[in-house]
Amino acid sequence: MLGKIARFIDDYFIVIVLGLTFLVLFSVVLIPTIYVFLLSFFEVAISGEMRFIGLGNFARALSDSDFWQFTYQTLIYTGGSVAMSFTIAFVCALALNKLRHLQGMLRSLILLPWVIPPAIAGLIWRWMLTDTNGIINDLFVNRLGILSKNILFLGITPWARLSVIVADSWTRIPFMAILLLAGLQSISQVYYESAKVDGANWLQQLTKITVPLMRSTMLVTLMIVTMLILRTYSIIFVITDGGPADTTQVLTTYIYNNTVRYWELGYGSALSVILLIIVVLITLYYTRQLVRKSIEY
Amino acid sequence: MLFPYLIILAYSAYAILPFLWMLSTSLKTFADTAKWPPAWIPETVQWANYIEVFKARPFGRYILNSSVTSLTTTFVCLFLGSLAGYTFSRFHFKGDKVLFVMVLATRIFPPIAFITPWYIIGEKLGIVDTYWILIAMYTYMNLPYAVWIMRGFFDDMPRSLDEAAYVDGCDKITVLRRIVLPIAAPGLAATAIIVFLTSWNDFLLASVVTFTEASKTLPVGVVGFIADAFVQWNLLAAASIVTCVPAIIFIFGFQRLIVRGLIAGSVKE
Repeated sequence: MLGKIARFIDDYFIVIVLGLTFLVLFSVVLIPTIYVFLLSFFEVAISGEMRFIGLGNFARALSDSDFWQFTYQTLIYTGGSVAMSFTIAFVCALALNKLRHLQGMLRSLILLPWVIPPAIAGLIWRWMLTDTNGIINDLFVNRLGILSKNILFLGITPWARLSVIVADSWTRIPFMAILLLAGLQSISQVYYESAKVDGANWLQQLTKITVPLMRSTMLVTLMIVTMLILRTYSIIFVITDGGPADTTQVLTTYIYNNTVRYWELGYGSALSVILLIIVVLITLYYTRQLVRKSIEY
Repeated sequence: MLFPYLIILAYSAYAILPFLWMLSTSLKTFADTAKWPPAWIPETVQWANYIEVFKARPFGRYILNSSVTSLTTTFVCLFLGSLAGYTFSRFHFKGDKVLFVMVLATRIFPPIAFITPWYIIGEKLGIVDTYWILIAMYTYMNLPYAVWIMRGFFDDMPRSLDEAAYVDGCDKITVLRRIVLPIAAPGLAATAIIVFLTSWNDFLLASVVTFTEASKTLPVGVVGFIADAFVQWNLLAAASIVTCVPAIIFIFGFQRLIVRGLIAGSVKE
């Protein structure tokens, strides 16, 4: 009896396994995706009643000044975090590339900001940025004497924006550094050696060898991290919740507020669809850049 | 040689100091946390904070909720992921493209876009505020990725091994059990860790569908602290450290494995 079952599974192995997998994938991936697209064409009342309004939600978004303001803020946030993370991560990757035998303990420390829950990372930074007894104010006012008074980082707009960017990039750097390091390690030492023989200094080596050969790695890293940052919610929510006065709101927090706080399920879904479109466009852009032939020596 | 070391040392400090500061805060009395200027070493080390935290909120329950949902999701993704990954790796057919698109979609699309459908579906099925909805959502987030990583690992495994076994008359299940899985063990471990961490660390998805301690996960519970009128940062810090425990264990114990798994999943595009 058991033998028959075993034989059955063996013969139909592919079908069973894939059938099961696709069944699960279908229900947890496909259905919610289709659902959100459908919902974006409806207006959902608190009673649960749904009214079809075609492109009404999208028209509303286009004339919603908050939407445009928050999209702009999303760009600042994403651009800022990507720029900051990439710069620091690249420098670290270059350094790590020279240190072949880095102790395991040190590597784990470096990776810590990235593996801890983002919400906790947010809490850590929020605590550090407190105005009355935060360690960052302590550093600048007491220890370094750069400032004369404590700053309410989370209550003053430019500082609040900088704070969320710094906190976010703190969590991204390890991941970017690993990806960039993998790319660096794939560059053959032969190039550097012959360049040194020709008398090139480190800057020339960097700009003429490293950067061109790293092009596809850098693009992939930038693409992946941009996607990750565009989906941030926890960090901003925990640190500023969009404040002060909505100046650190981004699309994700706006969608959250519309859905969970204002119960605008239709509008929230439409905003989600818009966000998805933005994300797909960015992916297409990066993919096109990648397909263009990279330099090879 | 010196310069790279300095850079890495500086960066390591940047990476670890915020965390250490939280650790220091978690061992202070409330009075200590309000001190200005703040001290790194607490006057009296309050290990009791870690117990106190359980009284302030139903922390034991949060830990249970997080553990159950994360572990279940990990098992589901490992089981289906390794089987499906193996199948995709060894047997080629048109479903390939569909998988690729699904993996891509779940990697690219921000989870925030799906909180509405998830919430409504959860409501309709009556599974909001339960483990089921969380497991479903975490499976959504991790399964395609798990299949992808496992397929990557299996692709790296020479087919000659399983082919030799088939020639010897083994059926597929035996081949899997005896030969393939033991060798793919690092891949399984990496996948398991990544899936577990992603589920445990999640805040957004859980905050949308959990309302009571019946299903609230640890991150949601901890963040709830700041809604208090009078935030007790020392207790909050203790709770935060506890929430970081799986991450700490995995990164210090299995760092190479995690990195391997993540590179396999990302750079292979």
